[in-house]
Formats: sequence, structure tokens, C-alpha cells
Amino acid sequence: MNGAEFIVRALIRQGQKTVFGYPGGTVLSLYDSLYRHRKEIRHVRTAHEQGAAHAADGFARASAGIGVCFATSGPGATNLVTGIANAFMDSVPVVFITGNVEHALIGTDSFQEVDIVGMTLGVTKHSWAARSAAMLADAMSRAFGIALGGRKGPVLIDVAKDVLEGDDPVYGEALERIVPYVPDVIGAQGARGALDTPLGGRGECGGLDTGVEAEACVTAGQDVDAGSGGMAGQDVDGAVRLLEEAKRPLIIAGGGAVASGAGGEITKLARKLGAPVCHTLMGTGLMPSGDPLNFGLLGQMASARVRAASDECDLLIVVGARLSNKVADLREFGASGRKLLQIDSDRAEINKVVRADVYIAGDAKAALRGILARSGGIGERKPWCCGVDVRETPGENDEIDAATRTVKKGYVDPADIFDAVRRAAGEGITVATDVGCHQLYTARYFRFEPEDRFITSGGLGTMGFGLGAAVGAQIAAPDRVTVLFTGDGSFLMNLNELSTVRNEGLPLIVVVLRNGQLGMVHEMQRKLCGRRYSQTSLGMKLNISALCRAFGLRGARVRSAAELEAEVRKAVAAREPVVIDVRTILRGV
Amino acid sequence: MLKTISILVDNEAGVLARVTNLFSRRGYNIDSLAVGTTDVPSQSRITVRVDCDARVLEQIIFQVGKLVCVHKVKVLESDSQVSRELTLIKVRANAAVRGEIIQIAEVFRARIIDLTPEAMTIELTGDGGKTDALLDMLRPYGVVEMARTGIVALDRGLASISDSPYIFN
Repeated sequence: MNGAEFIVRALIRQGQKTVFGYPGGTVLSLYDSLYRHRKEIRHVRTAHEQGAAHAADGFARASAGIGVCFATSGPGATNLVTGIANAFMDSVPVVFITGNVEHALIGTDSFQEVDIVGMTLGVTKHSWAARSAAMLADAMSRAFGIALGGRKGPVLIDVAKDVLEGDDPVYGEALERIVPYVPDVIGAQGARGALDTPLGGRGECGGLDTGVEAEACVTAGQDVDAGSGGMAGQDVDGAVRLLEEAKRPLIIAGGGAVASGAGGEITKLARKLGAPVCHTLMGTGLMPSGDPLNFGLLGQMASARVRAASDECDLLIVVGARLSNKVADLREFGASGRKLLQIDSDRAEINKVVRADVYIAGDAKAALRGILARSGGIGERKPWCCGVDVRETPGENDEIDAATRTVKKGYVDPADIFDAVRRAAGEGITVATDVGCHQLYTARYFRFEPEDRFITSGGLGTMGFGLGAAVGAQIAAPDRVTVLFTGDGSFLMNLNELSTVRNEGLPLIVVVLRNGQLGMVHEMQRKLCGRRYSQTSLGMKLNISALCRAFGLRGARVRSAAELEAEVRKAVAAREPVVIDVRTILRGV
Repeated sequence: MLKTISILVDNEAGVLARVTNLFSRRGYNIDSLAVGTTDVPSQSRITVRVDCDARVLEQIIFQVGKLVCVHKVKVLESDSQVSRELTLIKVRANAAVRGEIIQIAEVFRARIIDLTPEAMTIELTGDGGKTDALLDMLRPYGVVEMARTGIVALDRGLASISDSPYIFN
């Protein structure tokens, strides 16, 4: 067995049925093995490696599994870099496998040679430069575990061409040892998915001179202690104490809560405490929009209600959110004398920007279960609502009300776009976005139902992410209606993947919210550059229907919410792809 | 404040690049760095001295701990560590000043390890401050070049990195 055959068999053995990628010179043998195993493993060839990287990312998010992506050396590998960084910033488990030139040529600036391991050091959880069969065997046996363990993220295996092509007995033995990876729900950050670091704390880390208080360790495979919900050694009691003392607790849910599937636990805790829940961009869709305690999106698009709640709360419960500069107002939190309870699977996120009074470094779902199990003493509380009415009508857009909606002929207001798609697409859908105004609008205004899934580029903010990601998501969940909301700028960046939609026969629904602008930057120029709109006008000349025709897809221009709804219904019923061109006005980001 | 951090890592190609890449991309200022193998052939030890506050120190520990190649991290306390740095200083030294320089070296317990008609190379072992003092004394004669290993350090007594609360992969 050669290295290429070993890689493909190892993927199959780990239960991976789909890979994304693009062939090339150094990975000839890898694609030869894929050909041999084409009945066991599906390879989706995209139009460009970046699309393959985003597709593997979207696949991982939609399947709650792992994405795999192949590329050749040199430009194939460099084309992955944005996709790798995107997966890293959003903690998405993807195994990237690149070919490289023969190991004797490495370091000689040979044709299509780049140091992809060096280039991606800062945006991978781990990487391997496999220059021998033993190194490749080691890498393949650890890659899935590292990508999925603790805080998830991408890994990269760069394999020299001769290693892919050479036979070696080590592969047979390595293959025997490879078993499907079972994620450890208790484990916090750790390559083996194990939490073997003392992590409990009571906010005393400032006293590092005397050492962080060491408490008992939790290790993988340890019996789940029913009393603590598997959180032995963590400061669950300290967390419960904070909850007992708090009069106005506010829950902030981020991507870590979504990755851990902690929506149910967060809802339970919110009800018990009467605590409103706000979410980061990555936490969108975790709670249904119609839940009265779901106050909505944080950050620049935050509603008055969200701002009031974050101003008036006396305890912030942050679950799987990194408190980035996008929620800058919360970073001032430490100075206010209010308390912070932080739950994160990555210990390095604790105290990173704001000092936590109590923290739990571990899986969000397990941590919340531990807290719920011990919070029997806290009576059910009525919601505190900071003087703002809890909205009673699910999905009511409190700022875009009917009176202010767009009336310009042929244009549709974003709120009407989301309502129309919501009505036509049914429940339990995947909603993907690109990056820009349309993205924040979706996170803020789309009415998410309990079984929906939201996929977006949160950390890196990658324009052009959407189409590839939606391809991956649709392939991961073929029976789900998958809708991509994109903007005219983002759509143009990677529309080449329309060919993948066509080739793979994916019933993807793409809604292009067109305002003829690079809206987000346009808005910044309005506010910060004295309305000097430098290079942010796109115009409306692109004929999306004609473009789609060239790809063998149907494109449709709609002039009203009713037309949009009809188009989406038609596509859903026929299970056929459609790209819908809808003119709109995006304002106020 | 200057903190000495000891990091036990895999003795593999690329490990130093991962650690230094992390320090540079997260903006931690390295004051001194030394790497070498340990009594366990599969492991190397990186000793890094960083100027940082308690918050950044905590970040360094746990960000470094996320690297798969890192096994243990320990912050060595200034009052319970022994630390040493080896320095080589090449100084202009003709017959007229040779005797003076040798006297200075003796005061600092430094050794002369190379001598030519025009130059002298002095080896000094110390904990940092001594090196700067010797350098100041030698400057007037004309320092040609110098090289420092960076500080290496261990806990005093039986304590070791294995006692660290920060055990990772």
C-alpha cells in the first residue's frame, strides 16, 4: 500500500464518506486512489481550491462532523489559505491534505513548491510536513482527534509526492490502529480531547505568582459524575453561587455553544433564571427567534433591547464566546464592578479580554448540565426585562416596522425578503450567508426556528465564503432545504462555484440581496470618510439570470416579496437550484 | 516584569517555529530564549524570558499549552530558580592593554578562551546582570562582537517542571 492509498483507506475507516478538493500534479496518486474507491468515498471537485476549503468547512458545520479537503502543491495549497484561516477563526474541524514536491526537491524552489506548513502555522491547530511513511502514518492517525478534540479547528497534512507514491509496510499496521474518533464531551482544550489540565478557578488567576489554584483533573473516559454533570474538578459550585446572587443575569451565547449543541441547556437556564439571552454572530440560531427570552444579536446591529440588557445586567454569563472587538462594549465590563461567569472549552479564552469571576473551562453543554444539576436551590424567577417589553410576536422586527419598509418600485425590503423565504422554505432549514450587510441583516432579522442551522463566516469575515460553504452544507444534509443569503459583492467573489452546484445537482437556493454597493464599506465611508464612496459602488449591470444560464442554472429576477416567495416555493417543490436576484436597500449597519 | 517560563516540548523539526510563531503573532515580547534537548531524548526544553504582566503571562501559558507539541509549562519564580547564561565577548586587545583586560575578566570570574596578537575572546557565565556589567567594562577597549546563549533556568531543590499545574498534551 502506498501513502495515497493509505490516506484514502484511513478516511474511509474513520467513516468519512465525502471529501472536497481539486486534483493536480503532486496528488496524482491520491486521486488515483480516490478513483479506485469511488464507490466508498465521494469526492466533490470544486471550481477552485478556495471553494473546496469553504465547502469542507460548511460540510463540517452542517454535519457536526469533520470536513476533509485535498489540494495539490504550490498554488493549490496557497488557494486553501483563506479557507484554512476561516475554519480556524470559527473553530471548525477540517482536515486539509496537500501534496508537495518530492522530498528531495523540498527547499530548492522547485516548480509548484511552497512551504504551506510554514504559511499556515498561525491558522491551524496542528500540522504535519509528512516527509516519510512513518510521519504520514502518525499524522493520519492523529489528525481527526486533534481537529475534533476540545476547541475544534483545522489541521493540515502536507505530504511529499514520493511519500504519497511509495509503498511501505507501516501503512498496513497504522490502518489497523485507526478507529472512528468519538468526541469527548467533557474534555476541554487538549489535543487528545482530554482535559488533563487543572482548570478550576475562582478568578484568582491574577495571582499567577502563587500559581493558579490546582484542582482535581478530569480525564477522558472518566465516569460522568451525575451530581456535577461530568464537571468534577470544575468550579460548578462557584458558578451556582454567582447565579444565586445575581438579580439581573444576562446570557451571552456564542459559536462554542452552537458547536457543543448547548441550545437546550441555555434555554433551560434562561427560563430558570429569567435571564435574557443575547447571541454573537456565531451564536445566531442557537435559540429560536420566537423565544421571548432570545433578545437577539449583539454588536453593531444590536437592538435597543440588547443594549439595555447589557447595560443593566449585574451578571454576564458568557458561553462559548470570545468577546472579540465586535462586541467591544462588553469588553469594558471588568471596570463596572459587575460579575462575569465564563464557560469556554478553550482555557486560553478565559480571562483573555475580561477577567472572569468564576469560570468553567470545558464543553458548554456539559458545563451547563453541571450547573443545572446543582442549581436546585435557585427558585424559578420571572424574567427581568430592563424596562423593555419582551416582544410577544415571534419574528417581529422591532426596528424595521411596516411603516419604514422600502417602498421603491421593484425593490424589496430585507425584512420582507426574510419573511418571504421563511414562509416558503419551511422549517428545519440550513441558512448560510456570505459576509457584509446581508450577513448582519440575516443574523439580526431572520426568524430562526428550532431545527434551523445557521452557517456564516464569523471570525475571519470572508467575503466569498457563502457559496462554497452552502455547497458543503447541502451535501452534508441533502434533504434539508439550504438557502444562501449573499450580497452582490460577496457573490461576485466566488461565483465560479455555481458550476459545482450544477455538476453535483444540488438544490441550493441562492438569494442575492443586491444594493449595487459594497454595503458595509460604503456605510463606513458614509460615516468616516465624508461620503467619499471610493470603489464601493458596483452598479446593477450584472445580469444574474444570464450568468446562471451560462452555468446551466436557473436565475430569476424578482420584483416583490410575493414573487420571491413563489420562486422559493417552486425551487423547494422541484428540489432544483435557483439563484434569485432581489433588489433591496440595506441600511443602518 | 520579567518572567522565566520553561516549556517542555517534543524534540522535533518545526517545534521552535511553532512556539516562536505564537509569541510573535500574539505580540508577546521575548527578552531571551534558549532551546536544547533534555535527559529524555524525545523532549526539548525551551526557556523563555518574557516581559509581561499577570494577564499576559496567563495567556502565554494557555496559548502555548494549546500547541500539540507542548507537554508542560512552568513559570519559574525568581526567588526559587537558578539561572545561567553563557556569553562570548570578543574584544580588541593588543599587548598594551592585554593585562588590564585579563584583570577585569578575573574580577568577573570570566575565562579567556581565545587569544591572538590583536584580540581576545572572553567566556562568561552568569545570570544576566553580570554580563551587562562586564560588557560595560570592556566597551572602552573595543568590543568586536559578542554572542549570548539566552538564559536557561531550573527550579531550586527537588522541584521540577513535572510539578507544574500546567500539564498539556
